[in-house]
Amino acid sequence: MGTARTLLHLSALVLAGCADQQGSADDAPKSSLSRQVVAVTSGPAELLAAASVGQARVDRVAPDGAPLDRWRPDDQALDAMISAQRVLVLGDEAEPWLQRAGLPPSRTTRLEAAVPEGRWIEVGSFTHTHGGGESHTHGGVVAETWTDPDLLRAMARRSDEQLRRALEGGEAAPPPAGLEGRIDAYAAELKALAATLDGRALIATHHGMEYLCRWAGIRLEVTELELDGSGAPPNDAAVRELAELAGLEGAHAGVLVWPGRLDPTFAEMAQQELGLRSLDFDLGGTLSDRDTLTRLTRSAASLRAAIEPE
Amino acid sequence: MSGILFLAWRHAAAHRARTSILIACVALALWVPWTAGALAGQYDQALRARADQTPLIIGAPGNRYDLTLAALYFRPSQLETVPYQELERLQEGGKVTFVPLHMRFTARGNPIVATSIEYVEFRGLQPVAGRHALRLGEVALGAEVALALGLRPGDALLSDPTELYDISRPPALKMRVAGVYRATGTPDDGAVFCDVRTAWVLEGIAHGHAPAEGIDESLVLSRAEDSVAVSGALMEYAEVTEENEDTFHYHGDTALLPLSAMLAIPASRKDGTLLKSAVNAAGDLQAVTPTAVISDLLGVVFRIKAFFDLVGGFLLGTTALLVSVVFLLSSRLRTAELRTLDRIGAPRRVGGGLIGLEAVLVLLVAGALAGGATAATLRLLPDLVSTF
Repeated sequence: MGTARTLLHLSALVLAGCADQQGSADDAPKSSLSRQVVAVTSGPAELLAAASVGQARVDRVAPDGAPLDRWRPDDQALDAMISAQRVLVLGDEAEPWLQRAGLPPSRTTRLEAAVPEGRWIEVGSFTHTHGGGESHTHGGVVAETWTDPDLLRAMARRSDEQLRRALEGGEAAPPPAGLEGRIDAYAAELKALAATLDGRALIATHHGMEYLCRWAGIRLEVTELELDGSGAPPNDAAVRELAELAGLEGAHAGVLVWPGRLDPTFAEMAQQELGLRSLDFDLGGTLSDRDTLTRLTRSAASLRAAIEPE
Repeated sequence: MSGILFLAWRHAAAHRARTSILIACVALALWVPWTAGALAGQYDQALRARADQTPLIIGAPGNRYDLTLAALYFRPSQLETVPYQELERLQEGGKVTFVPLHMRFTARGNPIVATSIEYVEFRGLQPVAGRHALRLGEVALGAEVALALGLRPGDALLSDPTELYDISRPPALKMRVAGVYRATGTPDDGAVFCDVRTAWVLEGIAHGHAPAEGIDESLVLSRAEDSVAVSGALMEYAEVTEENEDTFHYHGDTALLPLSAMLAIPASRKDGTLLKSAVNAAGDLQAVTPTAVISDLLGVVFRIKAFFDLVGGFLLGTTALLVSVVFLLSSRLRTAELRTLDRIGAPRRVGGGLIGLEAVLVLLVAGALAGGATAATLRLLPDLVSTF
């Protein structure tokens, strides 16, 4: 009897051993990209994405007006980007947060890749090294490449090629009226501005207009005013430089152009003490209720109207 | 028949020591080859499954076994690195998805696999707690790592220093655990995942610090109008936090940032074949098909296994002969018993039947024991594929 019991135990052991030994690898379904959209975080990206795939398939993941160089995506924005069929961004120079966020390389299109190596503008660079390590230059590259009509066309071609390929097979909404024509209109406005300036320089508080001025052949003088918005006086060197420029009668257009945020206190001071009328110039970098080209064209037109002789 | 069975059973039970030894010898002789065969079969299946799921691996020219084992099983290796620009260049083609891999660091002995979200999607890794590691300085843990280290989202994990006594090397990085993945029964369970940019911080190529223009003068080696040389003693952050994240940047050309390898996931077989041919023809990279490499590797392993199978066969044969000798001698000792059976009118075959049945009983019990021991061994052994 004892032996029979032993045999029974052994049989049970064998049967238990024949059971599945280890859980098979989780057959978890691979996550599918359910959002047939292009995620964008800047005005130029939205403009180009809408031109390629239609506004309905563009998903804004940054808030309106968020400054490109200081915005950082939260978890929700990151999730929205990684789940989109495509992410269209400007690049590390314009959007530094890209260096610190894990976007999918195969689904991310960087518009800056369309800018040829020699076309970048570097100003006021600051180089440093660490011990014996390699040097690195900070903050010297002007990021607003989309303001140059030719570079904007190159970016449009790149984004169009990549976005249509990525989203083909989805329902195609008709893209808005021709982007090429609108870029031509913007370019014409810049040429008209250059003609109105007739060799006079534009004075600006920021380097953001470098590319459009280079394209249009407009001389640009930048004073790099640092204003924190609290009403405190800006950096002395920039103010001195501004005063010197303002003193050169006939060499400039008599306006102080603010490609960044206009500081009313300083603008009033510049008008009263230097005779410089301040004007806002919206470079169209951020997301807004109007698209980048509309803002650029209107800004150029407003500036031209402001400096035209009465 | 039942009478012979009863007699055989009673005889075996009456000689417990001899019967037990015989059962043990036969069971042992069966257990070794059965376990080895089952293990080999499991490894073969699991290793091939991992390789079959991965269409192509691309890396620097060199040992293809190292490249494959590193990319599939995160085995440490001395692979040459591939610059990130190669991934960007290949990605322009559009028909293949390339997944970056960087595996040069460890955290508490576990491989840090720096990659992109496409890897997680490709392998079907799902967070069971928290989320994916999408930010600089974040990690997501494989199930076994989380269990072994007792970590969960919100905890911290330090990377292992590469050179303990070299103060010029970057310090260990304190990484935030963003999530834990569900167990998959693959090597992914034993890995620590992060974005590839975090690996570049570990390399020391990317770091954060106070603005160079505002650094303590005692740390400034020289200063000019548009440049400043800073002492290597400047403390670099050993942790990426919300406060200092924006200061992190790269030194040198970002296109040259290093990768260990890339996974290539083509849209079709044809695209994969064309890609492999193009990459291998160019010569500056190599593209390997994991299935072929693992088959080669397993072929070598199984040739060795065949030798051990032969040895096992000899062992089994020897055991069989010895058991036969025991039963033969036993039958000689039972001459009186067999003569008694003959005298009481039992057919001649009963004697042989008694000994034969006893042998069959011994074999059956030994077989059952060996089977149970094999099953128990397979259950108790750690999953060596996931820790390969």
